Amino acid sequence: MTDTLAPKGEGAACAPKRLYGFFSCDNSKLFWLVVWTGALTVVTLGIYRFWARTRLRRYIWSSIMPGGDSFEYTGKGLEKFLGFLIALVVLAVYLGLLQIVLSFVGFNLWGTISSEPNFPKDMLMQTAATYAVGLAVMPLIFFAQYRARRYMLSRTRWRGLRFAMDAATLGYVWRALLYYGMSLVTLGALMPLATFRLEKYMTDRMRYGDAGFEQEGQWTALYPAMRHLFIAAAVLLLSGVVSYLEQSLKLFTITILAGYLWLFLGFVYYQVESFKYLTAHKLLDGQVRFTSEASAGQVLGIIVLGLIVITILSFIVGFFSVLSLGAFVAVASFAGVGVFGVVALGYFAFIVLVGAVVTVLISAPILGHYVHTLWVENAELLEQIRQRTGEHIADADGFADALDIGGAF
Amino acid sequence: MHWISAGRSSVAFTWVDARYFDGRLAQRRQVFVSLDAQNKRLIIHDHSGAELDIWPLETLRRLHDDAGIGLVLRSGALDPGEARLVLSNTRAIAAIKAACPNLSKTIVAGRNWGKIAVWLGASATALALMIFGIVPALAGRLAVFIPPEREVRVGSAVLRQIELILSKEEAGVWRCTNPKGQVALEHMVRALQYGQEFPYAIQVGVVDHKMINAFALPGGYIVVMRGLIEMAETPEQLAAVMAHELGHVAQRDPIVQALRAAGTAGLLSLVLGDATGGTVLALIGERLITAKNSRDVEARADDFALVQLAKAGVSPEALAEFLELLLPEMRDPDFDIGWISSHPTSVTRVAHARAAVQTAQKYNKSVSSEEWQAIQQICAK
Repeated sequence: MTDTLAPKGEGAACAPKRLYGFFSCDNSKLFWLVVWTGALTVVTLGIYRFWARTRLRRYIWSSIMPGGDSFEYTGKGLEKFLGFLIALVVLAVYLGLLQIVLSFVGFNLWGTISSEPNFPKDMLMQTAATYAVGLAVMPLIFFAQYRARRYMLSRTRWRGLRFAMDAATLGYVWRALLYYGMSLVTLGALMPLATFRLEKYMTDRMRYGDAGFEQEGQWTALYPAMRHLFIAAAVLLLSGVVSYLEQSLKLFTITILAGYLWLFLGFVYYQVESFKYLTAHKLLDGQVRFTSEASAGQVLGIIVLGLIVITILSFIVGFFSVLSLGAFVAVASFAGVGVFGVVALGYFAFIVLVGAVVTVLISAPILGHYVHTLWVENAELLEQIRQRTGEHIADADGFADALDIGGAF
Repeated sequence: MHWISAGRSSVAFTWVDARYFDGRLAQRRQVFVSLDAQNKRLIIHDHSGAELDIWPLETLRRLHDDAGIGLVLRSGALDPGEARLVLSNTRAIAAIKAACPNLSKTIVAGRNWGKIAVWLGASATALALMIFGIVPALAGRLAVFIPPEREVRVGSAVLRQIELILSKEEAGVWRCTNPKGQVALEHMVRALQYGQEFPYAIQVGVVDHKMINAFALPGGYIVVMRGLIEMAETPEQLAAVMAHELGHVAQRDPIVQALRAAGTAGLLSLVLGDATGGTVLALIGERLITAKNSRDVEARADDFALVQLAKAGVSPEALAEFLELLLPEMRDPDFDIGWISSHPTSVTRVAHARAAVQTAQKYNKSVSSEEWQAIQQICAK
């Protein structure tokens, strides 16, 4: 590469002030990519999943084009595999030690409990033990979340420049424990606090090239986004009270169902509205701003439509596979092929196909909607941002993979 | 833009529009690229025509799985460069694909293989330690915390599952319910419980299946298969097997095994990932791992059996006899999945049982001959 310096102002002179998000994704290509990589994952007993996720991300990232320039995902399957092995060692040892400590404590403190446990006391112990294990795993989950996001950003580029997030995992872990603990104790009433503070913690540590992001705003401003969650809670509460007074099971069933549906709607609404607020109050390099006009109705529409299509497809596939299975089993047992193998193969094929349909009909369209409704203000200032050096993250997103957390992509 | 034919079949082009990101500034630049086939290089000019960058053709790499319609290029074989070039002209793309030999090549650095080997070894060791060391130890500790009434429910669920599998394999009635035989069998087993307290009632059942097998389930269920009753030459031999299974119940081995299976399945699904229903695979793997009880567990069940046989006045010799009966069958592939494989019989076990026989003592029959006949007829219709 020759060492020419970019002439200043050449691009900036005609740089647009506003960049719109584009999402261009070929559904059939995406579908076959997920099916093919899913099939390879099954054949390799799960080992290929690191490469499968890499390829899916490459495809999805390159579909996102703010201002017509696509994102690039530079993650590698091999580094994910290595990261997973590292996480596996740490997790196996951590969980092993944890269980030794727990059984040690149980043996010492409750040594009196022998082979004849008393029912209520024992139930209490068991519950306590379950929660102890859960609590001990929670820090790991937050740890994995932050690491996975950091890895993902460090492997994302736009216009050739890297994103990044500071190495500040432990600060995130204790904050997440604190804020989620608080919102759990208050039955969700402090959820906006958790959402806002944790998003702020991560955004303030996010970088694009040599520029930093900032999260502005107030956590209390997220309360309007919780509107439908409050309504759902009220519906559920009322249904309980009224049904108890009226002694009507029918009324109870109907209202409970309505309450839960509303709760689901409320979660989607909260997701979208809090995203809009948080996006509007994000700042890059002190001056670049973002606007999102995502719509909860449209996201909900995508989900409902997707679910309907998937249900119909599953029904059709199920119907025909039962029909053909009868014939196949007859042939297979005649040929000496194990019926179990046929059923297992069909099961895996079905799982892979459903995964692909969910990606194409739900996950990708929702992402597309978020991208389409987003724009960048003062975008001409982006052109002054410079590259940052890459970093090596040994564990990649191995912890998130081992603990089975992470979003659609 | 111009197209030139350079030499034999290699086509070159000049002044094709492209987008260029230099990897230093977040700036998109409109550039012109020329393919110099003779010198095997790609030249990038800025809008004024000055040379911006020169990429040797053999170092060109494309980005894979790109959703765009164009071709995204970078330069650098092992260490990928920071700059990117986005081409959308289809003829130019075709020419580059023809001229660049390594466009899709990826190279794994040698040091990575070493890392993979090290971490594969480390994770295998850690997992082995968990599966064969910590999980079994923990299962034994935790089993104590499970209330008996819950364990009984687990046992009946497992029983239903086994019923489902066996009834598929051998159609027809699976459970032998001849009342006389059942009474006799219960009599035999009750005698073996002398002086022992179990947290739940012991329930014995016979299954109409040719397999030589008997096993204990969580919650005090003991299942005997027809094949094993047919194999036994005397009622005392059957009593010895029953006493052994009672030993498993007394130690709560079945629920420990179940807990262990759950723990191992959890770890295996950690390895395999749940993306494509890996838990099912995990369960299959689990069955392979715990197909055999440990020698320790078997030895303790044997000890229990010898004590209880003596208490019931039955000679411990019966256990030795039955084990000896199985010895020649061990090589028979037909008995691959029966009592023999899950309870590997050995000369040491036989000797241990024989050592428990006290010559001075007078031993009785386990059950009367009428009862023994009834037990043998338990599956008769």
